[in-house]
Amino acid sequence: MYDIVNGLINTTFGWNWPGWVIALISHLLVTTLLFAIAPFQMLFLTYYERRAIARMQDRIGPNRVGPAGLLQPIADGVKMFTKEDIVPAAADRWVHFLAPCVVVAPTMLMFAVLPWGPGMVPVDLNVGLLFFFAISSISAVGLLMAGLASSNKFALLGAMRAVAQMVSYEIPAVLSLLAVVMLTGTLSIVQLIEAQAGLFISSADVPGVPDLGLGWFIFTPVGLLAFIVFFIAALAEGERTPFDIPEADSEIVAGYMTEYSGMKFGLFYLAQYVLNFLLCAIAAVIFFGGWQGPGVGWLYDRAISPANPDGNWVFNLLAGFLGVFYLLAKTYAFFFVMVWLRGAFPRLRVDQLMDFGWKFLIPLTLVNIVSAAIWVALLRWGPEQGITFTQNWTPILRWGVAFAVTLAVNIVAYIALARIFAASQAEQGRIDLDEYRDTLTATLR
Amino acid sequence: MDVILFAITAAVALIGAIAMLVARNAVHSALFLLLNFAAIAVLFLLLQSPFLFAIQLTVYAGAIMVLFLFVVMLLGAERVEDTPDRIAWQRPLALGLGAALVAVAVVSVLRGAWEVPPGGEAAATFGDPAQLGALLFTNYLLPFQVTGIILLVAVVGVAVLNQRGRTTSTVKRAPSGD
Repeated sequence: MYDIVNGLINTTFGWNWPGWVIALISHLLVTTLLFAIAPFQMLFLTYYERRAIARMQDRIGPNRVGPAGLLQPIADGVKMFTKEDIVPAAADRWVHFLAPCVVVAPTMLMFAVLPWGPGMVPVDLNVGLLFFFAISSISAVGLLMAGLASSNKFALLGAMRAVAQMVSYEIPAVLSLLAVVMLTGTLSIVQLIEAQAGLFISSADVPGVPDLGLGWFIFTPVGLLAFIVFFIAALAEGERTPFDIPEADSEIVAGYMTEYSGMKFGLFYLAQYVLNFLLCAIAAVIFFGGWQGPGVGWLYDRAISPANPDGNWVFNLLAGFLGVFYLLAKTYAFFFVMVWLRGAFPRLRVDQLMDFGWKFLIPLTLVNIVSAAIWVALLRWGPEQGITFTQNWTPILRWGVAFAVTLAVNIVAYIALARIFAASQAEQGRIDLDEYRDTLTATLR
Repeated sequence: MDVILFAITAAVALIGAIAMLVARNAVHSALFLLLNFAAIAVLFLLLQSPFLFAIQLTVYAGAIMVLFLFVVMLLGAERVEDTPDRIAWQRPLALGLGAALVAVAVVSVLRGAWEVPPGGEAAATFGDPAQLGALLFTNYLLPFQVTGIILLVAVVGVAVLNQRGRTTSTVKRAPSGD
């Protein structure tokens, strides 16, 4: 943003304002935009989800307020604001009040490292990816606060379930991203996106590949497996339906949100949808190239950027619009998959959830890290790292061999782990049945 | 600018630490400790090290505080009982050690130890993940691997304890029905 504002004011208009004024303007602009965008995304996603799920259930969905029901989320917001705010008499007043804030604030901070288009990132941290997940782990504390402060056993149960689930599924999510970080050797989200230029083959791996912005990690075997694991883990982190155990309304009312009403409840709702949006967006950024797509790179080469200070700001606008369009299209496609899964799958049981995470997803990601190491060794390493047999291969041959080897490793690992997991689940079922039969015979006797 | 930010963050960290000691409710104590950890994470940001900031947040604020709150929740030990301490010598010892720490701090301030020696500012690559990783795998390889083995032992222990609980529970449950 600084580059764009600087180029616009000092180069195009020639006003020669000092650097700190421009920095102040660009930072204020970015923060205002982000604080406006986050609630707007939530409003749009609730409408989107209600309409999509209605179609899947052969209904129409909200269509009365405004054209095609588009103003429905605004009406819901007004309802939330005007509702009475109830605090239980036995509640821990301050903790009860602070919990929604502690849940919402991290989701807002996570926007700080999300790149929207070429050169359009609020802060380019060298550890952006780590920052994203470090901040997201704070909201678990907020959920626990809500459960503890409500002095309601359903709230407490919901908070325990939510935190157990978040803590267990953070591990496969982060480990699957670690494989991608190994492929690029960077933790900066901006550099991760820049490494995904190319056409099915990343131009960082094989020089000379035409740059259509399609060198996404999803086209490598390592990236594909990492994406599958990450998306399942993201469903659990965002408490989406196959994993919506923390707020299972048929079992524990609404989990940690039970004792909240009015806008405090609205804040939990907001945090959840913003988190879902961010998880979809980060999946799009890490595995599907983020703003990368045909045309963005070409446009950005002609725009004002640190590499090209005397470009034309019209190209900044065009590249930005196209980049944001690609990113949002990918993000909403993933959110549609989340809604689709909600329409298609029943809820899991707690022990099934834990078994699946710890006994299947985590071993799978560990194997994936090994195949990421094989990929890097075959593609990047040379004699100085002790790999001599790839010395005389052409880049495309090295890429092909790396692709074949990692694909074979991942497929074999997937089949083997799936069989082991299925066998262990079947045995678990037998043990449960045996216990049940023993207790039954003891009772009858 | 840095000094103002440092003063605010340090004040928040101090308030968090003192309030943690004074609070009579275990949940409040844990939350004030979280405030303290978050302020210290911001201090790492002021030292130009976003990596240590992220680690401080994930390890302390994310993992350890959640664990504390979980334990408080499972034990139901929110309220402090007003019974006197079981370990009588604990309080005087703590006071004595605290006084010693304050004395050391005052002496070092009086001797001018707060002045940064020439060339003693934080380097631009302070806490850089690549450097940290290289150190872990060269100079500190043995401690790093020992830590890994200790954690592995903990994981194995949890698995063993869980299995034992499983078999005894079936034995216990059988005679209970009538």
